[in-house]
Amino acid sequence: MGEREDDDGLMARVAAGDEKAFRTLVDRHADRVFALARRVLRNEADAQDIAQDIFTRLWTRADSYRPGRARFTTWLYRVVINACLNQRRRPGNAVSSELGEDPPDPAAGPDGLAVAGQMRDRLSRAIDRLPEGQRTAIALTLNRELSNREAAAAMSISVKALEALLVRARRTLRAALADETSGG
Amino acid sequence: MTLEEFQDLLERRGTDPGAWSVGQRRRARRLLERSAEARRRHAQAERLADELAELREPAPPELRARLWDIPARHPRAAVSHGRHTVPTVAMGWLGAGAAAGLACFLAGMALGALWLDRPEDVDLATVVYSEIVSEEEWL
Repeated sequence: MGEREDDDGLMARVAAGDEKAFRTLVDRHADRVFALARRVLRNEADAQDIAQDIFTRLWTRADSYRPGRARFTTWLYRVVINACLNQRRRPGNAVSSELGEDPPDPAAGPDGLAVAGQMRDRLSRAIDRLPEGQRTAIALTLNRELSNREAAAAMSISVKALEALLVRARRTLRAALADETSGG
Repeated sequence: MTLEEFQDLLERRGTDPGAWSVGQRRRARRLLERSAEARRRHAQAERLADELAELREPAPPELRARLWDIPARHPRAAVSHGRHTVPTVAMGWLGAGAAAGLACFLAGMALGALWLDRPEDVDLATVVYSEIVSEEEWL
């Protein structure tokens, strides 16, 4: 008892109408769904809408899920990305999603924690300034959960294309981090 | 392996040697043993990877509450929670059921040919989202 049930098993139970299994999936994946949508759209309200839409469809259409083709998280990330792209393409949304919400400039702090927080805020803003493809590639790989192959599958591109995006993104972010530490 | 190749490897595949090929690991290890600059670049890439991994954007509490509430707003049929009952009387209906099932199957095949693009017939990953982004749009 206490062994963690895998996502495919939970989805099978959700398909049978098991609310507890659904809530376990929410607890397990809500953060990553929201975080990925927020990164891609650069808009918190839109990201919340996307997350709600996706989990609603997970609940109502769980019987459409096909286990075994890919890891559940890879499939889930692909659903999130597709949802974000559709959101972006709706008339009137392209500009608002590009502008997004700018994180507030953190106040200077005297201690190391505040400095570390400032660095992360600046890194976060640097990610938000990346072009969409690079931003999405970084968002998929930043927590080290997905391999490059899985991230490429989530974006429906080749591994080579994903790595090209990562190279550009990491160079930009490396420069941003170097500017931060040199006081630039 | 040159410094430029090593830098490209770090940016392309990340800092985890497990993500590199066997040959890349071997050549990278030899470079790291002899080059202080390679070690500096590796440390820099590790630092970026660590900072990225620390970025957290938890779902807001109000969003979590709404997600938890989804089953209540979209009621489904009750589930038996794993308890199975053997339908002893169903044995007598198997013959009729098989015939009805065959008829339904044939009808479904005919209807399916007309309705293949109905959202209910396709994978959830595409039923929600109508477009697949081409690689060119990403790059």
